[in-house]
Amino acid sequence: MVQGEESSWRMASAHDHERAAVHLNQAALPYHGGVQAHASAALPASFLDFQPAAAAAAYFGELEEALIHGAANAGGVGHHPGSMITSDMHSAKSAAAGYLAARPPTLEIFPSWPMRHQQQLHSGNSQQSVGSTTDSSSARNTMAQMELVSPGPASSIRPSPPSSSEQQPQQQRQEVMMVTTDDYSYKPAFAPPPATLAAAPSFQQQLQLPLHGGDHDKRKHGLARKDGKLVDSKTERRLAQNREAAKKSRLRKKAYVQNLETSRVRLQQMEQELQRARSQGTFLGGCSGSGDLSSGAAVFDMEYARWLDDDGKRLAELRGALQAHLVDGNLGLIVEECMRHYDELFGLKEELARSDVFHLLTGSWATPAERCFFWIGGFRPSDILKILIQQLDPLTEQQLMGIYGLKQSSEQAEEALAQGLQQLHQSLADTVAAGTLNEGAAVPNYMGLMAIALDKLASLEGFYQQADNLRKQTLHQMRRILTTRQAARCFLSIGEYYRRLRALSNLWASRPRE
Amino acid sequence: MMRMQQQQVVAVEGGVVVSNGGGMESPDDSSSSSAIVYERVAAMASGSAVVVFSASGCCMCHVVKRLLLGLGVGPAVYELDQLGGAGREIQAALAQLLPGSSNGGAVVPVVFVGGRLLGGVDKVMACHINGSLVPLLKDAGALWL
Repeated sequence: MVQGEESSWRMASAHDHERAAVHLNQAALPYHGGVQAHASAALPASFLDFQPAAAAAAYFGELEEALIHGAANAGGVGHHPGSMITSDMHSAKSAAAGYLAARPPTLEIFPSWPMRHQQQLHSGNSQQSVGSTTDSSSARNTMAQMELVSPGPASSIRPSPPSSSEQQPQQQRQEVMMVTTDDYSYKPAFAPPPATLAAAPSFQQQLQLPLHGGDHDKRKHGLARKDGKLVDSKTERRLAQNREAAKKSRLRKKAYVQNLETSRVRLQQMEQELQRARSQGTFLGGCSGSGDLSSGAAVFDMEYARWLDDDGKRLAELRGALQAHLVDGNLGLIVEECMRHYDELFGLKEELARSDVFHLLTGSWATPAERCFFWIGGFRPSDILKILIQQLDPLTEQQLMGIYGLKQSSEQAEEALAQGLQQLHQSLADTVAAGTLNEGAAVPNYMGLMAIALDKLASLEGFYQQADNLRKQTLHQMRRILTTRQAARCFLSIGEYYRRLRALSNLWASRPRE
Repeated sequence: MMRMQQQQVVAVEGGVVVSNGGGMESPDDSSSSSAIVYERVAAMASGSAVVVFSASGCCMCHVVKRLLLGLGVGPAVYELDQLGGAGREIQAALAQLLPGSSNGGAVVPVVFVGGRLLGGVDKVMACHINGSLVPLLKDAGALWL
């Protein structure tokens, strides 16, 4: 009869374990990370003097929370694991504090528990009795064990194997050791550096041992059915060890995360520096700091940096000329220079479009703030016109008409281009999605499909060229409508507007982040 | 970029009959046949105030059509890929008329206004921006405002 009860209990608790394991899944991964961190990071000795008894208790409280849920569904065990657990917590706190003081701050390659001690632990956690004490405690044990080791290939070994009372504790320990190393190597997310691999598994194994403790020990059925208070001191000690190990792992996780954070911040700073350096034209040719730049893109970036330098000089020249109230003829020369300067940029972009149109279209050559306003690889003509109309205030009637007409024309052209581009996108999407996508690349006409898609993608280049053409035409027409002086102010406005956008990007990149 | 499909010859607007004798010329007839093609093109182009030679899958042609329609023009559109052999001839002739088009190797779209060649998409855009397109359209009778 006892046997029957036990088996039914076991089945129920196995079910609980799965459910509670889900609860603890969140805890499991960082726990593993914590273990890893200890292996890879060099922590100061004072680390272990840290007394987070409260933290440990809180962590353990979460554990118990989940357990209560699990144990409560164990199908009418009828006892009060809650009260048992809370009483345990109190004892645990004191035990943890005392225990912490006793632990030496070294990474223990070999488990410190003598075999005799091990056996006591085993006996202390009998799984066979149906008492609430051992119910919850062993359930908790198995819980902790499942949280430490991922429910991977070794999980089949752990949950309640059939009563094999002939199992030697030695054999169990062996088995447990194998389980831990196996699971450890199956954790791809935390790929350990080979140097620490030797140390870490043994560390983990040391953690495992007290926890795995008496799970597989079916020999000791000594404890009678208890209800309420936990009396067994061996269990208490084991629990204390559990808590201490949990606390350790928690601290290691914290250190690991801090390490990651500082690295991240450093990486961000480096990226910002690189960005700043590039935008200020100190970009060293050929260095592919930002992923894989094609050669055309790298050349363009260099040329663009030089163009920006020139741009700065032009702006200064314009400003000086306007303030000095130069004769129109001289000013006109400067304005022509500016116009040629912009044409030069269009030429550079056209050259790049032939080799790497996507570098242009993605706008990785421009700063983030400029990229906000991107329209097919550059500025949107009507946007610039809107800005300029406000800047060039004293305009004659005819000029106003001209500029508004220009704005309208460019808007119409932009609209037509945008619609054509939309049709291209649709057509490309249709081509790529032709046939059944479920079969992967096994569709009969795959290569033909790809060839058609390639053609369509190539026509993107045409759209980019037309957009740039539109920009160029708009600027030239602008120049024609305005007087020399107005044109000078116009170029100055455009130049300053973009300079401000670039400065904004720099400020954005270097803004303080908590 | 254009995929020419083998389709039936469609009777062309303007009453010009397109014969399908495209691939059968003997070498000494080629000059005269190309002259015939040019005439055909000219005839087609004169058929309406605004004529657009296009291809049904071409997105740049879509741009030109949208632009003209947006201005209120009702152009006559010939989808060359739907004209079979004749379409190919016309495309060849247009390629001669418009050397170095920037549309990634495709000749179309080609726009004729008032029977005279205007150009490809970049020319149309440039004319529109510098304000010369609308007067041109008005002169040809395509717009009335």
